[in-house]
Amino acid sequence: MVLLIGGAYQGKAAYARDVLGLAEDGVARVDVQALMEAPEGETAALEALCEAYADGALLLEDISCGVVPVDARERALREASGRFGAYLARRAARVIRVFCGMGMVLKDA
Amino acid sequence: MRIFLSGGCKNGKSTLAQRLCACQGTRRAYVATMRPRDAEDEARIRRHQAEREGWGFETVECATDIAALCGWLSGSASVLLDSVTALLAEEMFQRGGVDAGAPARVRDGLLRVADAFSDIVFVSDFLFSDARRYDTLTEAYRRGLALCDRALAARCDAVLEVSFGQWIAYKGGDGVAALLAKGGESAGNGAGAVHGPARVCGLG
Repeated sequence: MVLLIGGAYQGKAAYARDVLGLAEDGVARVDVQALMEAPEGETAALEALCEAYADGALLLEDISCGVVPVDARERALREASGRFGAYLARRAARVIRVFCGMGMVLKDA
Repeated sequence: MRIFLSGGCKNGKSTLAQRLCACQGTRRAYVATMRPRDAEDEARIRRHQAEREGWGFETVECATDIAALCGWLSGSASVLLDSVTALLAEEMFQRGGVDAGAPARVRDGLLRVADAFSDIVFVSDFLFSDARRYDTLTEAYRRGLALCDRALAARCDAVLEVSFGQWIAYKGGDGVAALLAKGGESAGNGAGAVHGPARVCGLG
């Protein structure tokens, strides 16, 4: 699995398609909210995601650098997003950070 | 060399951009893109002006219709355009109301500028790591800025992220390092705070 991280609108999906050459069904955005609410628990849900996209890519928006949100729900989402990202990065064969459409390989196992 | 750089606020983007601009060409032009609206803007402009003093920059004011620059300056000038962020804000919000066509227009104008000048540094701001979803207008602005940024990044020879005075190259890092080395002392003084490139390593 390749994990593509980056800020909003940076071109993660375009990178998966154009640079990694992946078909649309091989790419998924990490739905942090859904993972948080998964009945089987976070870890099991993350594992299932890794399995389902073992040959594909997961896209995760990096929302970690902004102001800590006042809203408790937003705050939990932001923290979960960081936690899930770190988990997925450990499981990923490659981690690429997309910045203005350009990729930087942070991990290449 | 065409260079695009972005990063967080007050991280050293303008300082690095000035150094890079000073390392190429003989005639140096600074494109001032911000129309001051209040005392805070005036102070920001004065601070940037003081930082540019003694570097031999000719200042060209162009807050809208950026492609006009192609007719004002010789293609051999070394241009510093700071910033894409201000240009888009000006085109999008300052003509009374919101202009939804601004992002594509600014992008096309910037690409024409990139075609006209082979030694140019574009400065933008990284506004994309917030947890908050903003109102529709702000999100449209962020999406529009990313549109301009990505087009410029694709077009430029080097793409740099500036982080706390360090730079990280997404492409063209060797060329940038060579350019700064060539510039040496002529790159100005008091600007030694920008280092790079950063190495990327991980814990697995």
